[in-house]
Amino acid sequence: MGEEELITGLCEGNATAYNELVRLFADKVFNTSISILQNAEDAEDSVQEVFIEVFKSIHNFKGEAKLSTWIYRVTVIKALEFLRKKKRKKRFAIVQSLFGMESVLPETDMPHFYHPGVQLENKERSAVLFKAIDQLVDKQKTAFVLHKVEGLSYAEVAEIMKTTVPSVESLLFRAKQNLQKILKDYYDKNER
Amino acid sequence: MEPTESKVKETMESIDGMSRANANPFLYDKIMHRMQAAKQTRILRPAAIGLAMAFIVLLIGLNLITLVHYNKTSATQVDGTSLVKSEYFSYLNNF
Repeated sequence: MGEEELITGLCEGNATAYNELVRLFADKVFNTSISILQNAEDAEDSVQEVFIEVFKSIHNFKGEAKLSTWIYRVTVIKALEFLRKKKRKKRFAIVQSLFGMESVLPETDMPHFYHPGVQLENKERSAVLFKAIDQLVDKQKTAFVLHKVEGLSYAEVAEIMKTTVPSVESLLFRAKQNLQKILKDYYDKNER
Repeated sequence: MEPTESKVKETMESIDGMSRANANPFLYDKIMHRMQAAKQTRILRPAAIGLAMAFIVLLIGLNLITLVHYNKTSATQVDGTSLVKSEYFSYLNNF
């Protein structure tokens, strides 16, 4: 099924087109979501929201960008929204714990997320890296995940983030610098 | 190279050549189920709101009826008391 045929099918509410879209993009959307959210359950929830949003607003898709670019954009927006909601809930829980209404476990400095796509020998190191990625600002995090984890080119990342290739290069440069700093601090603190 | 720097370098390279994480094989079914559930909620929500409003109106109505009925009853009770009182005093006067 070609892209135009797929979009027409989606606009008509065709179940085969829905199924085909999920088949084509499920892993891409899930990989991006899990790398940003760093939690498999949250990522699955966010992926479902992405496809529901795509099905609902396919009529608004004007074809100015590629379908994949648009889906990646929705994925990133949904994942970052999910993160913000989660952080809000965490803050609320902390406030509640101050009033003795609920107990909150103290956040540890230890890495907790293991990406399922990482090779076994790199499991521990990559967990530390993902913990550092989580501390980046949204734009740097998005650019780094799309380029380094999802393997997209600078041009593709720029299109998804609605920016230019030099901006993406600059974002990635700053992201790498910040990651190196965070990692250096981590190893200085934890492995001496 | 310092040990920390080599660790940082190794960590930065730890995701090189990683593969994509695979989505749940039943993702499509889950999405369809969620969309169906959302549709049902959209249908049921106005009905539930309507039912709740009807219940509130009924409660207010019953309250008003009880109030009017209570007022009438207490008025009758006052009349009864004064009747007994007047009859009692007229009996005393005639005694």
